[in-house]
Amino acid sequence: MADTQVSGRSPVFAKAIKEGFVAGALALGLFLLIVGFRTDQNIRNELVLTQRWGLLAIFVLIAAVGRFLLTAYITPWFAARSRTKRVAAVREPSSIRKYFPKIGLLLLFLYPFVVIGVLAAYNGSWMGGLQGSLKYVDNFGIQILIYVMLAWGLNIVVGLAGLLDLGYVAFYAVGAYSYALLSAQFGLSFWLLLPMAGIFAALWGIMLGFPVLRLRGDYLAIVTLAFGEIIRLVLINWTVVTKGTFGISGIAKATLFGIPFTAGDGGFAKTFGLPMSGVYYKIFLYYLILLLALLTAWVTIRLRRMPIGRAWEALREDEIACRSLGINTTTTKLTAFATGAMFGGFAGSFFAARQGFVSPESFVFLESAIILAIVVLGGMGSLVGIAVAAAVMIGGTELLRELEFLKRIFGNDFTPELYRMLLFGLAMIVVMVWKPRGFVGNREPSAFLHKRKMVSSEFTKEGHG
Amino acid sequence: MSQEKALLSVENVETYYGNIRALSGVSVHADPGEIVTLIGANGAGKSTLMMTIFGMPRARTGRIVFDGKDITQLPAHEIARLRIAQSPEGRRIFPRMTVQENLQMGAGLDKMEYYDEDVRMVFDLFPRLKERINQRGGTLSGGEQQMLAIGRALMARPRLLLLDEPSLGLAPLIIKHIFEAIKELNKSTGLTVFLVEQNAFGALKLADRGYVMVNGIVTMSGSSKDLLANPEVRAAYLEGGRH
Amino acid sequence: MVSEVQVNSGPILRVERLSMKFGGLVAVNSLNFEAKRGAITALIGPNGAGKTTVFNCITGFYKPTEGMLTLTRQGGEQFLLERMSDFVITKKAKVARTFQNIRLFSGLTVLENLLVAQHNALMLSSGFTILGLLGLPTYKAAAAQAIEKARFWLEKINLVDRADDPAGDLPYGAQRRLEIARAMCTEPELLCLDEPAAGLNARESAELNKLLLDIRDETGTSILLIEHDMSVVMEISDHVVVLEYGTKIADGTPEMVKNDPKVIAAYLGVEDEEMEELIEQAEAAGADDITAAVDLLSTDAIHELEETKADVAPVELVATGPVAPLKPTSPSSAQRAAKPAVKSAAKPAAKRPSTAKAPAKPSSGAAEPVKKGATSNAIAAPRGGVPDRLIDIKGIGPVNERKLNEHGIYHFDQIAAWKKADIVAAEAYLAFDGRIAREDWIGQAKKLAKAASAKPAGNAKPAGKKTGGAK
Repeated sequence: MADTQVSGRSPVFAKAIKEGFVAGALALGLFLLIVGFRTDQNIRNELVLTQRWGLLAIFVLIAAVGRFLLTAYITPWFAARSRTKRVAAVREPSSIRKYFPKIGLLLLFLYPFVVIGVLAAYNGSWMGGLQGSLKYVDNFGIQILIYVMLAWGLNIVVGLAGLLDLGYVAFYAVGAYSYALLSAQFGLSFWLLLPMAGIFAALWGIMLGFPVLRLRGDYLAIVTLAFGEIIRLVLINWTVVTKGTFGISGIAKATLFGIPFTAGDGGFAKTFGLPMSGVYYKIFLYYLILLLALLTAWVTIRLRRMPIGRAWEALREDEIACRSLGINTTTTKLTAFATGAMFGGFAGSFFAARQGFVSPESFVFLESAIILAIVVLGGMGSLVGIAVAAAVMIGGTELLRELEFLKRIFGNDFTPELYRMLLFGLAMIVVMVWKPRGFVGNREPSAFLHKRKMVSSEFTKEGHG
Repeated sequence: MSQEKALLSVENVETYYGNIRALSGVSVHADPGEIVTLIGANGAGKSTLMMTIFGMPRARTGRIVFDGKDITQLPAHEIARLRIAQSPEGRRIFPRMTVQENLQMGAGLDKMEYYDEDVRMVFDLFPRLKERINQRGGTLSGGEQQMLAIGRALMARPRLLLLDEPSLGLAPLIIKHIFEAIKELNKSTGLTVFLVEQNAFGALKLADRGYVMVNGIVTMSGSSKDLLANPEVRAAYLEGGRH
Repeated sequence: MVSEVQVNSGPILRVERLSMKFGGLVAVNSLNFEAKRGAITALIGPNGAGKTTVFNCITGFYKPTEGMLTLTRQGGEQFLLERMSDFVITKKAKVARTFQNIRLFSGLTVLENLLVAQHNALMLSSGFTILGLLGLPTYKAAAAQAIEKARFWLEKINLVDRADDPAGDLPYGAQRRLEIARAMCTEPELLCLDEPAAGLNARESAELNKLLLDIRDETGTSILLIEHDMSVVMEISDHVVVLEYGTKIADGTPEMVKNDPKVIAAYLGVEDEEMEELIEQAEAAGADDITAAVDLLSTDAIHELEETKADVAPVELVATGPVAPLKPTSPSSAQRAAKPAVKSAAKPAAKRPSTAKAPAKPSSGAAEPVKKGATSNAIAAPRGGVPDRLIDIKGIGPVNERKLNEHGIYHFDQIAAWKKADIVAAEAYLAFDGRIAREDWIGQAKKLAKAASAKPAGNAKPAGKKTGGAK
């Protein structure tokens, strides 16, 4: 062992130098035109070419040195570390990990008040705390929770049943437009329309499911993608009903069991004798989406212990074996599709009530991709992992809006928001390299005889469609 | 042990799946022109050893030397280029390629000059494959796929042939046929064979030497005759089903 | 678990004129057989004979091209399986199956695998999920019962300790057992097992035998079994059906089938114990060539031939086979049975070109060799020391080439010059008759001889590295 290590050192070094050169050359080729030259307008509006050799040199050096360090030091270090680490016996999950869901839940319920409290102490007044918390409750709390709920809904389709759905946002759109149109046309209340939106979305799920569920894998993914686009295009072009790209505005807000969040008499603040503030509605919405998300989680957890949930997971593992056991895989897939779609519909109607405005622009393919990315990053099938992934991804991109101080470093032209998707993509790559099966790859069994043991991700399958 | 001249020697190898140790300090070797068999119960780690020789998974400790070259850290495709061929557990043929294409894949790109001759040899060995030459691998029956996996391994003109349960799912007549062919190849070309088998009786009859593996440890080794005569081996692996 | 008294004594499954074609390929050709209720029926045959295809037709994974599959349940209810889809067959007709390449839910635990199998029963008791979701006690009771049933089967297959481990983590043998237990959890009346003993060692096969006998005796489940491990087939099956090239070549008790020369020729070869005897004989005689003990290639060539003939009249071809006259007096020895076959077959061969396949031939090394140089134009050594590649003739494999060489035949022109008597003699030592004429060896040899003589002498490719190359 020992002498192979020693003798192994110099070849590694030579290899690292070689790879460093190759990386440098590649970077030079790649960045020569992109970084090395820049077209600018001068004062007379003429196009001029500026040369940036210094910057190009920095790029190339970073690539070459980085590659060299990676090959010569970092990779061997990781290899050595994993070698020593793996030999260690199986660890019991730490107590933090064990109680993480409960602690997290408690924090979620306390979150608005903690924010208000902290900000009140900071500003020295309750009102200041209330007003300041608006942003944190709305942009962070509600926004993240919407994605948590959507991802948990999609998790039923992708994570449990193993059906790759790239058009999930369609059901979100169906839910949102159901609420927007029905409340505008018939003046129905949020609480009536919430379940109806879910049911409509589920029906759409079944309608989509029937013709396409015989497809598998890539083919299913493409058809669901097309379905998502069809819904969006219908929303754009069916102007008589949907008002096209203008969208529907002035959608009725949700009420707390009949008590509206308005300024006048009978409004929430007056009824409870509280000072006027828009923040109550946001806090109400926060708890509403929290409960909706928890409903999704609860149903998922319950269903996993029911025959249908087990059949979904079995379907993901092996469809043919399922059929040989007398399971009707078509209806099983349809129920997964419909259940997932239903939660998408709930989230959609919540979204409409929160925004007060819906337009097709909110339901582009990128949304489907982000939701799917959250499911994959979190670890397919794992509720906690998905929640963490949503917090990291959505919270992270929201956080980028807050990074005004970066302007001081990069100059005033720098807008951090523009780098959102870049960072989003980088973060995904990092997580996938570090944890290929997502944050929580292990699967919790739905039943046990002696002891509940997590199933390692090396045994579970992703499904083929 | 004659480790000096061994074609393949596995020295004190340990392999892990995650945290589970599948092989603990396994040392085996195969001399040039030898047929060596590894027998043992299901789950003893026989297939793991086969795969470890091929670097999937990599041995965490120990050394694997082929023809004087340390291959412990080599990637699998480079190991294959040293003309070590494997007919892996679970067949793993290319299901969407025809029988012929599968065999071509086995031959690799650099050995086309022998292709006709080798293909003829494989078809002589398995006439069924000749009948199915243009059928896709995935549409073959289980036994035919097994034949194809073995044929594909032979197409590489290996110096060392690793066979993981070649008899799995094959008719008794074909099993005898394959065993004969292995012996024949071994005699005529000096092919070294490392064989894992459940059919311990057949394997020991065929092999020059054998190892017995229990729970990731080699517990016994010796000439096939000795192992066949050994009462422990008889009790554990040879008798039971037979009367 | 013990079933009630059997009401119905008719066959559980009747397969009539079953045919399955894939494009031009005939996988199963007008097959008829029956599986008796409460019995173990084995389906054996060479690889690619269509056994798994038959299974796939019975379990609804393929729709047969033709034919009728009638399943009669205990209560007398009849199902035409060819009209039902796969999951309905399991659900309604109570047929369960396992797969050749194990299909467990590897990411689910062992226990969960058995619970998934009880899906339909649990769906009912959970009121199609809705009642269960509300937490009604009926579902809880049913779930507990399902776990108990799973425990019962886990005890039977000796896997209780591993109930909470992922199924993919089990060793191969245990996975096979689990797959059987999973199928049994659907409460089948007919259990179809596709090579349950593949990859098992002798001890595990013995355990499997016990498990299958238990299943048959305790639950009354009928079993249909594909298997190559004769220690399983011969020991536990009540009835054996032998397929070759999609047609039935034999059907009867294990004892009958084991000694049927057609089955020996097509499938079994010489029995293992006899193989041992032969090896010992060969070793005693100082011959190192054990492999000549059984002529394998000859039988394969017969397959080839039969396939070409099968299109014309497959059933007749089989029916006229001389089964009865070859039946041995001492049934245990196929070897002894084969000897008279060779003698009797040698003479009438030319008159009877059907499937009078004499299966095993006497060991050329040790026992009773046919006279060397039995053909008229045999020579002692190849001319110029280089024999022709006789395997270029379609129908001659390496083993036959070696045998021909042993009998002094090295060149194409020798075969080309054969007369009728030579053919009979050659067929006697090659142990198959009618084939030389049918495959037109002589015609082929003439062509090859001409081609060889056209090239300058000595340019002929040496036999080189061949499986059965001349020594």
